[in-house]
Amino acid sequence: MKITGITTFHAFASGRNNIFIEVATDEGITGVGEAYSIGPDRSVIAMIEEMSPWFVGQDPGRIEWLLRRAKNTMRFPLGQVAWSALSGIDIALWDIAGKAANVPVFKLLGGPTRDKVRVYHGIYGDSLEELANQALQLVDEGYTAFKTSPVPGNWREIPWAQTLRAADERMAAVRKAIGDSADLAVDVHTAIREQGKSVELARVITPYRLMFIEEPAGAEIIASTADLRKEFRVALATGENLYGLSRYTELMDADAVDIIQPDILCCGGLLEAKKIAAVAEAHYITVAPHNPLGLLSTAAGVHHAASINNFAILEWHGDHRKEKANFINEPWEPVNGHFELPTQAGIGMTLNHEFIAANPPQQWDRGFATYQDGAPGFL
Amino acid sequence: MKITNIECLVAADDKGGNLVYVRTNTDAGIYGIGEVYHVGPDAGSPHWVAYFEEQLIGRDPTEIERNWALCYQGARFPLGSSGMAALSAIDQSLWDITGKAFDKPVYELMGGAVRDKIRAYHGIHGATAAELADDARKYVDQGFAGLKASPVSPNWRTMLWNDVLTDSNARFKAIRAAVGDDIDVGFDAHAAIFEPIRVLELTDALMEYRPWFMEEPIRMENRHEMGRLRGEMPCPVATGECLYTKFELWDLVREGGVDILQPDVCIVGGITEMRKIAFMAEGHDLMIAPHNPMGPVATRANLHIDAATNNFLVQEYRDPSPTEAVSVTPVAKPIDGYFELPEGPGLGIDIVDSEMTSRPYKASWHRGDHVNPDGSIAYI
Repeated sequence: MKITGITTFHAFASGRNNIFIEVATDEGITGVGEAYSIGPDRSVIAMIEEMSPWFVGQDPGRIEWLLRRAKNTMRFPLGQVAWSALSGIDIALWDIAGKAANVPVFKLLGGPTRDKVRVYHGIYGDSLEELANQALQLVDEGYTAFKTSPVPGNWREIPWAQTLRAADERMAAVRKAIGDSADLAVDVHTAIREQGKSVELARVITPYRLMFIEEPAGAEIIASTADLRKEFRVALATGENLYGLSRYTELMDADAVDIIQPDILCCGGLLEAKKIAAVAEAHYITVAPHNPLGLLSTAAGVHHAASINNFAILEWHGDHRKEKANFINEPWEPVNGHFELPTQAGIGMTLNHEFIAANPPQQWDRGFATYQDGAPGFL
Repeated sequence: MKITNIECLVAADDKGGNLVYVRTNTDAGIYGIGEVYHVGPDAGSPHWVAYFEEQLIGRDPTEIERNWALCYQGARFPLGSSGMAALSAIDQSLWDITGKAFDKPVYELMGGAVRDKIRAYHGIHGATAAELADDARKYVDQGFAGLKASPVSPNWRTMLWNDVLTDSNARFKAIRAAVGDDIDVGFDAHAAIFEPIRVLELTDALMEYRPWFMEEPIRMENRHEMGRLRGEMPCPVATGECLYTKFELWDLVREGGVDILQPDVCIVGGITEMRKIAFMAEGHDLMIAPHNPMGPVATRANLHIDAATNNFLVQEYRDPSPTEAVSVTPVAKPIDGYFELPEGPGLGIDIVDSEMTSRPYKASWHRGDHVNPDGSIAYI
């Protein structure tokens, strides 16, 4: 079998763009993948076009060789654009391999290691009522694990003492709504870059018995996260901002993390994620994949979760309810807070080309955070 | 597909020792095979295989990673050599079954081949420098461009240390004189030297002829000391054959104790664990060179791993014993120092039952006693 072409699709729905990939072969099998929507998405698409000749004409089953060759020829350390592009291609190649062998992808990766894949659901809102109401509704839907921001959206503009009080109130409100017999995590999202503040925040919210605190420091300086872990009496989760096996290995070797959170769509793909999970297992670290992008991304996460021994839980944002669910032909949603394992060959999803064509990409960025004095903050 | 039973086949090798294989059978008519490390007390291996068999009957053999975890995590206490050897062989057999079920060679289940052929090195032996040089020439004439020898004479324990250093230099000089400078020659101290400083002296005495690596320069139990030693070593340190699982190999890597990892697929935990160790090594820019003193089944399993692994350096290989060579088919041999990629489906190798049943197990195998001149027990 030979790769005959790589096609990209860029489309907007539910407030954000998605980048989908199809890798075609001369045997009529097409693999689908998704690259992370990092922001400068057109760069990712251009990168995939640049890389395309490295893949066309090659055997799609030589996934490791194709990816290593692409990484090595680029020489300079890959950044978000190249890692996203390669991750999306990797997923499409595994889809082809699964379809060729007529098995779900997780079976080609040594799985299944479990019968179903547990998810946690994001909860958003600035008012305590919004948070509590969302939580109550999700509990009714069968979810048993949740994640929210520990601080209100305007924390950069209010005194820190007020932020700490607000954090305490938020945790109390959510914990009251979900009860004690549910898991609760929080995501600092690398927005707080002062170690002392992260430590204070952790002390305020740790009594609410958290599943983990996510990204309490910037991702660039691993030593900073390692310092925080020594201070925490709660699991520290991080890793969505890292790419590739080497960087994750550095994070884990630095004793900086309890739970790693690779995003399959930019960490390097399913094979790289499998490698990262193996290193994590040797470090007694569990894996909770980052997963904000939609149904195809979730499918990649589920295949990954079903192929590793040290999976913890998968991020999930109820994307089956959103307009962007239409990008994918196959409906899919969790039952009682878990995804069933896919039964179709490959990844188990196909692209809805009509919906994609009808929803062209839009200019998109994450916005800009600002401190009280007008200086740029972190998002 | 369900596992129906797991057989453990033990046969006496005509040259001494035993061959120990497993065969995992399924209700779909597909079966898979694997090789158990001959740890010595080989009569114990069938008991371990039967222990795991009890847990695996009725399970889907293609759920390789879950089956591995069931055996390993279900045992609670660290398995030790016999248990790890049995688990390793069963794991190989599950990869064999899975490859057959998907009609693919095992390496295609690992992301496919990253290379077109697989480099091998062969061991050389000799009581004297002249014998060692003859053996080196023999394998270079066969096309091997990688060799491995003991850095010391077989009777080094009875020699004065200063004489060992002089003799070792002379042995390497004889090898170089026989095969030239363009052959890689590694050395295996085989965890027999107890004092780290002696290894440094020994390696220094060999450096003028450029050793490829020094293998197991000291004992394997003290990984901190291996790390300290590697910091001083003038050539790459190769080690890991005596360690079990990714956990122990990671411990070694964390201590900075290794340049070239040498896990053994027949005792480290099988193909599943070899893959994880290779990934862990890749994350640290370290190479793997699988240890491989067992028979053709082990070689076959290694070839699939080598084919699919980015950070593979070279495959250890020795010609099979006559019994090993007839016990399975086909038996791959390197040509001009390289193996071809193994064909599938699965591992692509099968047991010849009649050659096993005609050689019933007689006795366990001992590596022999090594005694110091004063009668105290040495390491082997």
